[in-house]
Amino acid sequence: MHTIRQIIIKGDFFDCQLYKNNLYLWDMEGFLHVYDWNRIYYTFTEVIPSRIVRGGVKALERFRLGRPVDVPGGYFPTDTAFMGEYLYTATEQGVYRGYAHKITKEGRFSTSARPTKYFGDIVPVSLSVNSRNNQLSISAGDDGLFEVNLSQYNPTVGLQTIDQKRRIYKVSGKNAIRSRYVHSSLYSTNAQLDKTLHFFEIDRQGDLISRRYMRDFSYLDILREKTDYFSSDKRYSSISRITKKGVETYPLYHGRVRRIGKPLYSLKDSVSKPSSVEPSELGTFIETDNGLFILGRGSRMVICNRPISRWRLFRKEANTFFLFVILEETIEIHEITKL
Amino acid sequence: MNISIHTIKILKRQYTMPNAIAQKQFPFSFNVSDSTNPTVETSVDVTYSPNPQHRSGVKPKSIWDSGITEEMEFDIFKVAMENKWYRTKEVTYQKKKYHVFLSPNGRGWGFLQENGKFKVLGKLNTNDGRNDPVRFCVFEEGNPNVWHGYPADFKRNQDRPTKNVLKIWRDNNYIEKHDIKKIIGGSVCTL
Repeated sequence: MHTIRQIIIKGDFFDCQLYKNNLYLWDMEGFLHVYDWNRIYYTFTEVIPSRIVRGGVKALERFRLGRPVDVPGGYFPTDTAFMGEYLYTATEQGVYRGYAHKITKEGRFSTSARPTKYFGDIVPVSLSVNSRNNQLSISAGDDGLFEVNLSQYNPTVGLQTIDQKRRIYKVSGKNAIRSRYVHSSLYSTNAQLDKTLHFFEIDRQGDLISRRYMRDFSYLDILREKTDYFSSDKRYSSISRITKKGVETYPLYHGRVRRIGKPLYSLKDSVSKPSSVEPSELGTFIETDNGLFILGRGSRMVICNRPISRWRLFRKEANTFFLFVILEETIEIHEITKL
Repeated sequence: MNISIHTIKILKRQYTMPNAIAQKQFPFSFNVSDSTNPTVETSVDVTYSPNPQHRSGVKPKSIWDSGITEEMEFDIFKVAMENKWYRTKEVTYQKKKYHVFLSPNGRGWGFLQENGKFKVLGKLNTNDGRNDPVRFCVFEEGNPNVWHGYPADFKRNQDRPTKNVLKIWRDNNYIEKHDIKKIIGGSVCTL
């Protein structure tokens, strides 16, 4: 994999999303700005493949869509996610929902300026979306792990219902700070960086299809019984966690007989302390206290050697991705191809 | 004598609450924006009353470092309140939004810096055996206008500073943006 184009935007931003060719940027003052991403991309990469854009919000003014809108809660968001035309914002007061973008009768672009509280009574710390099935997971620290399941075809069975109308379920009462979807199940990380698979099975009874919660698997249980589940639809994947020795990775090869040997270690004896390890379609992203790099199959790509605030990956084409990295005073956008 | 569950709960609460009579008391006044008219300031009188449970080692209460005296605890509290490092609530006054001091159930956060570095204020003492050193503390208004504080565990939802406080700390160069992400992400107990 290698970077083919790069745009660096100078500005004080806390979060970003790329959704339906629009760039959503959240600043530190509690405003959401929306821009036409295609125009930004072609304007800044047409002549030279690498460009530094100074001036932050002012420099992007000509690409703006709609007015800046207030972030619910009044400050920068804890996390954000798009699902089914709606923007979900995690704040200290709970999760808010508002329409993501709407074209008004006058043909103007508009993002909801008054999102409504969708789920209060918790302090969410991160969101994750399964856009294929309209499911949103909400990791809420000590409050536990929750899910909004808006799927028409996969109603949830076997979990405590928090709100029937809004289809909010409690997946686990144990601490969760991050989670992601693996097929129809949820894979969560707690504050101690231990991982758990909350395993669901699709239950078919005639025409009725439901998604039934079965049980939790610890990281060690997964290595013993569930590695096939993680490697079922890709030629190569991996399962990783942070240990005292560094980042432990078990490579998984689809189609081969399951045989778990010794793990590979990255950042062994390194002065950089890993803080998160998350797989993606580009490889395994390892975030440390002073940088970010991607661990691929037999390759390692350093993205930056400075502390990062957040990274987000979006697919451009089959093997091309946009990686957004938010730093103290800039956003770096890397267009990366997977060889 | 019949003692109802309700009475036991009250007795238990009284037993675990800091005893305002036996403990040291530090009276203190500071200015906050008025909640009915946030354009003017009003004075708030409070008492800081250190909770001995955060010095006794009883689990799961975090423990102040022996080098941090109760007087120093109070000094950190004063700095926190004077600099508005407390939880706020949003009020609308003449169509403008303001963030004002929240009380009762107030919360505030503080730290001590030495040569530009955060000083260790104490350590955790959790039931699951975590005893990491911590560099921040949280203050809570246990009873109306009576506050106490303890070393904070950012992995706990209620110990994490609110965003208005994090923003003030960043604007004053105490922390950086990636520190904010770490704190609100719940993955670290301290910086």
